[in-house]
Amino acid sequence: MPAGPNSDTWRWRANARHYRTHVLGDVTYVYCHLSGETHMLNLVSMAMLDLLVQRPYSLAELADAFPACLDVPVAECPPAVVARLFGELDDVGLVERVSGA
Amino acid sequence: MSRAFLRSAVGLAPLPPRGADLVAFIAWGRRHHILGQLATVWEQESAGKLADVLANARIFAGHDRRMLSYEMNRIARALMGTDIRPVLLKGGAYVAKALTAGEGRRVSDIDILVPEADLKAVEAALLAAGWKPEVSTAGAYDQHYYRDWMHELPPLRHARRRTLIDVHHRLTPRTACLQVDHGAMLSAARPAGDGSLQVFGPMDRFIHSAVHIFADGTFDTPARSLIELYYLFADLDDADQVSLRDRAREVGALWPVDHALWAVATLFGSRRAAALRGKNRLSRLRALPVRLAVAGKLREGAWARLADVLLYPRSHWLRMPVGMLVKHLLQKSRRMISPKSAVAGLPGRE
Amino acid sequence: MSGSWNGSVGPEAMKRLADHAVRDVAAALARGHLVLHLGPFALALRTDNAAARDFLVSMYANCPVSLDQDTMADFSLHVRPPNLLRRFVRRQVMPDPGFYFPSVPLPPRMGPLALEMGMNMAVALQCFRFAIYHAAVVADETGAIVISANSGGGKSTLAAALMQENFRLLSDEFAIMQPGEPLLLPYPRPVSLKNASVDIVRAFAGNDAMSGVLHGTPKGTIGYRRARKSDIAAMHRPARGRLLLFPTFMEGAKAEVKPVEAGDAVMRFIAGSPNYHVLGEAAYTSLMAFADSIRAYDITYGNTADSVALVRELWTQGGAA
Repeated sequence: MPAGPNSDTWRWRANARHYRTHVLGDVTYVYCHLSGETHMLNLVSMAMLDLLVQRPYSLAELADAFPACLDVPVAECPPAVVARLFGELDDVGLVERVSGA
Repeated sequence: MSRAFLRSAVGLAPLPPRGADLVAFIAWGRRHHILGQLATVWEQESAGKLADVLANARIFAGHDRRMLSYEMNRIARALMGTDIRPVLLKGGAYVAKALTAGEGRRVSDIDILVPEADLKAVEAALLAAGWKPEVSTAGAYDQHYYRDWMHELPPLRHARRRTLIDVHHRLTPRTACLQVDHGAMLSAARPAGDGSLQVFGPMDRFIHSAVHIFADGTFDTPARSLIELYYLFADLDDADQVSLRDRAREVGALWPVDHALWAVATLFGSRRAAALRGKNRLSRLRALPVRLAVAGKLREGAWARLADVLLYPRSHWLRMPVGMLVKHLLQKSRRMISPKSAVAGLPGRE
Repeated sequence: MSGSWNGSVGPEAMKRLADHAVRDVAAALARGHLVLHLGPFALALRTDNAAARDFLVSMYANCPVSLDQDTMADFSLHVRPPNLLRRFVRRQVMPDPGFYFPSVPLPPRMGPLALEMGMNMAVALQCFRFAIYHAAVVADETGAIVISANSGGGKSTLAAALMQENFRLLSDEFAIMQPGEPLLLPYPRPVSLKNASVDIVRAFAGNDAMSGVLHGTPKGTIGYRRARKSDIAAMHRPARGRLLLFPTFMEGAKAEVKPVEAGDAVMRFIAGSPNYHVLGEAAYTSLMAFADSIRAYDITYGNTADSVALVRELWTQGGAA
């Protein structure tokens, strides 16, 4: 279930000041200040969160950039997978829309 | 006894000095779900077990506050891309504006107000973002009760977060004898936070709280309600205080506001509130039963039960005309009897 | 003005339950003025159920209590009949912690069970000053062993067995974690044992360590192993977690140990917390520090001797590290 509508003209980012992280082996525990929830992210989701901290992306831009960031071909990380991973971060409030974009 | 407790609760009077009275005061605060508010006022000056008890309450209330803030964020997210700007009501607004009335306050759900024309779009957006009709009110009768007679959608619960939202399109039920001009209040609302949500101004906040407390319910949480009124009144500046009754008259909520001013004046000894009250003796006389009932509720025990007798039929009478009320209560009595829904109470929660 | 209103006497100055006349204890209990001071909590108790009262007097003899109406408590518990009728006809008793929760009315002789269940409920659902996890905790001078509650895993039996190995009891039911720090606080109440465990523990701990046995409860046969005087004496001394165990008891099974990834262990541990989400960041901070300071294992065993040997070995390994 998506947290709300999305659009290719909307750009998103993650703000590292809004959460804390703690690495335990292969997973990262993320505490989100806004929701007060603790999330367990695997390496792939964490990589996406880190990418979204660097600069804002639209969903389409993310679908292009994320496979490269993981260093895998697009076929292994198609846009539908990127959209689902992004949707999970969106659903728990770890990403925010950049205003005016 | 309770009036003294109320004053201690907001810091107008010191804490009861004797051990047993202090224990009784905290037990009273616990029963009335206001320990969080007591913590806001008294934790810094407490030590020992009292400090523990207040810290515990502060942490619990902090969770509610976080929940409210996050729900606001999620509502704005669900409505992103629309031009709908819901007005946060009650606790949500107090937290969004960082008001004293919101500090330490326990809440179980979030209330928003939207224009009736936007109701369908808001409901659809929330359903698409993970909210679902609350199980206890998903039946055909309850859906009809809310949609045709009430001032809000049947409550929605978020499937993952388990939080509850009430979407209002008016401030009193369609069927109620008091019809507040919610349109006038909606158009006077102002942006909160990043502007995707709105709140009422200080006067309308006080007016809505008075309406909610005195014209829409059985007065189930008297101490909590009265403390809320006290703080909201304290947040009015001089100009707001002077204009308050005019604004209340304008939006058709004068008598609940007069009740509220009476409560702030009498129970908390506010001279400012006393000076603002209406001078009409006849209307004061008519208000007497309600005020007696409020005093009774505060005293608890047998007095509170007597007050319930006064207030329960009134809460329904306030909500619907008699013919409709009879029909509603008959429907309810049938449900109470049928064992399957033995726990079904009144749908009218806060 | 600090200290003006503290609503309590220091527990150090307080008499033990056993130092009060039973008549005074009964009178205070009947009025709800008996406050039990155990670890970080003060619990006001009220009951006129004779079985619950006798149990309390025996099993909590070494605990500091106050019997006056001037003492502030964190929680209060009333062990009472479900309604007026059940006070007289086919009498029943149930715990009432002052808020609604579903609970089965019990016959009066099961008052002790109602008392213990109520005391668990009061803490699990109303404590927010500390993060609570469903686990037993025992410790020595070097640190604590946390035994997570798996259904049928034998957490309490193992805790009772480790008490016999000179570990002190912090708690049979809750790992109580200080906010911000991975320190575990003692709340040394009787260890609750079910069915076959009652006699197993009686065999090594001795009859004097045990309560009477309740047969035919909704949980089967129930008995309690008392917290020792030394456990009570150390009730304000926290311990740092070193070992986190997820036990599984299987009749006749070979003893087995399997390391659990820290990330996985933490997720399972949170699942057993009634209040982690309420505490927010403070609970996260302490839990992450806890995760860094422990080693976690799934352990499977078929009898108590095996489980003790296995834990001993894990404990010594850790000590060498």
